[in-house]
Amino acid sequence: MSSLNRILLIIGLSALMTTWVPKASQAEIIKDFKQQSGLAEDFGLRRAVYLGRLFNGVSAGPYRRMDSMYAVVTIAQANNVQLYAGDGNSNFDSALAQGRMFDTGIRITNRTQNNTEVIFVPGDPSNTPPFKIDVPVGVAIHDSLAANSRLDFWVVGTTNSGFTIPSTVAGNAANFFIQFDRSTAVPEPSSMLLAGAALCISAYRLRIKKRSSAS
Amino acid sequence: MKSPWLAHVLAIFLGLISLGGDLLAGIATSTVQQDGTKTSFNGIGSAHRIGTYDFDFPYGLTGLNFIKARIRLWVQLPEEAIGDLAPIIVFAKVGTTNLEQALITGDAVRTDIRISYNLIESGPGVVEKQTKFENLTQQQDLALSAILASDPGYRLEAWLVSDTLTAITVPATGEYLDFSNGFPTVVIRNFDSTLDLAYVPEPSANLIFGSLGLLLISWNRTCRRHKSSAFQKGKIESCPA
Repeated sequence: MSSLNRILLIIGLSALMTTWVPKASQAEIIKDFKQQSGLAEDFGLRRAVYLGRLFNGVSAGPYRRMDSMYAVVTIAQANNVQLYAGDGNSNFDSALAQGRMFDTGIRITNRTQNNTEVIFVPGDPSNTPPFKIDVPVGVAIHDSLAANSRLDFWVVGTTNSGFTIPSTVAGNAANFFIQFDRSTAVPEPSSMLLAGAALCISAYRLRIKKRSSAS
Repeated sequence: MKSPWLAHVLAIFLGLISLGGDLLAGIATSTVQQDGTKTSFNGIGSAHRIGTYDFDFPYGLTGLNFIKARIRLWVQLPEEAIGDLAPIIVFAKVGTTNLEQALITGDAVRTDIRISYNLIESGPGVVEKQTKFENLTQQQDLALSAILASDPGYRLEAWLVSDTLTAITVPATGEYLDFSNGFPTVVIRNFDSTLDLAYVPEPSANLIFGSLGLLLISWNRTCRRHKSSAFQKGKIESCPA
């Protein structure tokens, strides 16, 4: 192996190690529930229903991102509606435009369209792994929690869509429940790029060398 | 009649029957599981089939006028569903799939029963609402009679219809999370609805009763006049029984 190839390989492996070997990584589960507010907004752009505010007083601690989550929502007539988390308990459109609300990636659809149902996403926690949150979104949501010591949750669909989120069901509180797995580890994008580039260049050079040896 | 006052009482009674048909009015009642079906309506609104109700009319519908109706149901409404925006109750033939078409052809009829967000009980959830009796017009009565008559079991469908609102739910069942035991438990509640139809005999029947009453009164007066005249002449007679 040429010296240049060796150097590239070392750079790549080093970057990989800093990226994928979190020596002091910690994880924690936080969970909370509350009665749904049922308050809806539709200003022509989208229909947004405010679920409520959770994790009041929860501090950031050493954690940096939400890694995965479970969501349980009481809802009717939903078809692929979105779950948002962030900072803002009114005027969702404005909060979204200001970059204060984040799409968790979770989508909610009723099992049947003629009942008000409790929907577990991605499924029953006893037999379903949690929903994996994209790294940038997970960091953003956790940053919002760190800045405000609470998180607001909304369910959003197209304008004039008919999904409904009750505050009560036959006099009983309709609750929603959120559980996050949060972590101290955050994969660094620059390290990943460096690792990938170095390894690719090294592999390419080795291949060219083999071809010239063979000919 | 030996007791003239009895004739008057009977005449008054028959008169009351003819004038105040409510004394012989009936209320047909049906309670069913809510259906939960939702469709679009007029392109921007929504229609919700509350349920299919069946009624018992052992002597048929002939001679009956439907004068009022009321309904109890479980529903979630948006805050703006008040006044003219409150959805209305529509009666339709069983098996209706296109309510807009049914309203045009006469297979369905709008009533004046409105389910308002403010109607007790109100709130941003699935709540139980009971309307008071609302009058039915003659046209609504005729349409309702035709709808009931079209089904061997005197069944009809009741729909909750809004021309503009879609965020309405009339669920068949409702679930909620209960944390009273310290861990989340899903509780399921079935929802039912009750429809009451108030009816009275047709006017032709009232005419017969009223005529009988008047006839009785006039006959009794004639008899008493005759009796009075006979008494003056020294002939004591009693009015025929």
